[in-house]
Amino acid sequence: MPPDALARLQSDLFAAITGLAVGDAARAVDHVVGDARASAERRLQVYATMYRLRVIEALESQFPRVAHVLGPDAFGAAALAFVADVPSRHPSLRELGRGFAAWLAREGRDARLPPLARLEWARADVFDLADQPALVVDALRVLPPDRFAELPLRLIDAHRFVDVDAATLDLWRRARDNAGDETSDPPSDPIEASGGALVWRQDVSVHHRGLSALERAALDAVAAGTTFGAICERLAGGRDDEAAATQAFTWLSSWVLDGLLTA
Amino acid sequence: MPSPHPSPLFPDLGFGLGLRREHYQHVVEQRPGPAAVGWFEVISENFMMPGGNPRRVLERVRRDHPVVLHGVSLSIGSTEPLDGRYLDDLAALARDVEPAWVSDHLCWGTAHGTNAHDLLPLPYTETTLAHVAERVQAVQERLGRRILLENPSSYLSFQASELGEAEFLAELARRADCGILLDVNNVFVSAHNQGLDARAYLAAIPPERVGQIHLAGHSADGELLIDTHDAAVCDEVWALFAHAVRRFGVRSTMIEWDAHVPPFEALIAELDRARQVAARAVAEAGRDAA
Repeated sequence: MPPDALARLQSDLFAAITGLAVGDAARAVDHVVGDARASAERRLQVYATMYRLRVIEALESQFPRVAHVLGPDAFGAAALAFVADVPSRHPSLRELGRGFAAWLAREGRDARLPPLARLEWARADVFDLADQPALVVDALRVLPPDRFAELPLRLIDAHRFVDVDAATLDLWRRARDNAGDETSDPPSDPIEASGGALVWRQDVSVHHRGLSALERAALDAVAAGTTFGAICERLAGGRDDEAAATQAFTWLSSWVLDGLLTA
Repeated sequence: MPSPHPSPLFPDLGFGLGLRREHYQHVVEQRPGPAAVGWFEVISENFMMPGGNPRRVLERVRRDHPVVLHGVSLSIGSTEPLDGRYLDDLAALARDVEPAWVSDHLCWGTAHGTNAHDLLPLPYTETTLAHVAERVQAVQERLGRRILLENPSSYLSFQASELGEAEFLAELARRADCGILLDVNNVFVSAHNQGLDARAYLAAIPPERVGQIHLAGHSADGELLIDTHDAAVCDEVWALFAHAVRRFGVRSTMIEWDAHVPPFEALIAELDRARQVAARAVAEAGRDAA
């Protein structure tokens, strides 16, 4: 077998199995032995079927709510169309869906789907990010009151901000409930999301919730690294100091309980 | 159970399981002892990330058990260049985990920069043999260790093939000085699909190169068997496993169950059956030798 013949064989087979135009798919069958048990076409079909099923399954695991909204047939078709347009170029299937939300936006078939997919991708993305020691309530309890202003605040790495609106969060919740999925989260009505949503991982669980524009601005500052005093000052601009401090403490408490801050 | 024919290349870890997400919590909390599970095999790609629950689980499991890394994306037979970033990540994972060994498959899955995420078959020719052997040597040099390659389940063979798969794998192991991960279920499936003699396949495999055995279930799709890893090991595969033990001796053996994963206790029951089959095969081999 000449050296370049192996490359041609692999290109042809790859084209026949994936439908990607990287080789002569029609020629693939000539490379394959057919016999009484199964023809060459049938044998190639096994690989092609497995490829399609694997792609659909991988994307469904990453975008279960999108899959629920579309239904199995439409989602399967979308999944296959997506990988035909955006073939996988990463050795891990975990990366397969990275461009799916953007692709859905380009496709323009349903305006609800791109933000829903962005939210789902963010949830999948944070799951594998590095662990960090979390700032815990006990650490705050021992902090003297006059030291709170200097308390450094920094978000854990395992977080993502996602630009979605309340309708998307509601769609995610309804799709989860209709699917009978026991995934924890979120919120009770009404949904505040004027500042988008925050997705994060606490221990082994992934969470998300909507943010007010004010809290989003505060969290943007925390993500860049700030202090509790700076958050209070930011809030106090145009408001009385006591109300600002109360709001800041409320946020701080919820951020700590949610495991959002790193020690 | 000491093997009468131990492999000089790989330690005998006993009987193990593939670690699956469905059982993370059970394994971490219940900490099954070595009498139940001697070791775990993990899919390398599922742990090649900076942190999160998978890595945390792996660290906890590794504290209690030996672990081996089994990959699906090495694409050792591809005509694409080896993926340097993938090898770096795999090497880093191996440094962290200190696995007993690292394995992947005799296959390819990439073409023109794209990935099919499948274990595609190779034509077994001298050209392919030279090509793959060179790549195996490069990978082993990069990882600083000998790897094992698993015989794939196959649904087709190529007009261009000059060698049988077993002969190819045996010669590859010799030339590249690598090991063989013998998947007995894959031998059974491939033999059925291509009209081969499974026992003749095993006869062509050099015992000293076999470092690990996989056992798994399969399904039928019309006239072909499909390596679905979603069922118990069938009686015919148990019989082939017994034959393998009589030929190779006992090797580190594990149950592979990847889909429709049953409760952990069901896997332990399968593993116990593997122990019984192996013990009986060793006793029979001893009687035959006497």
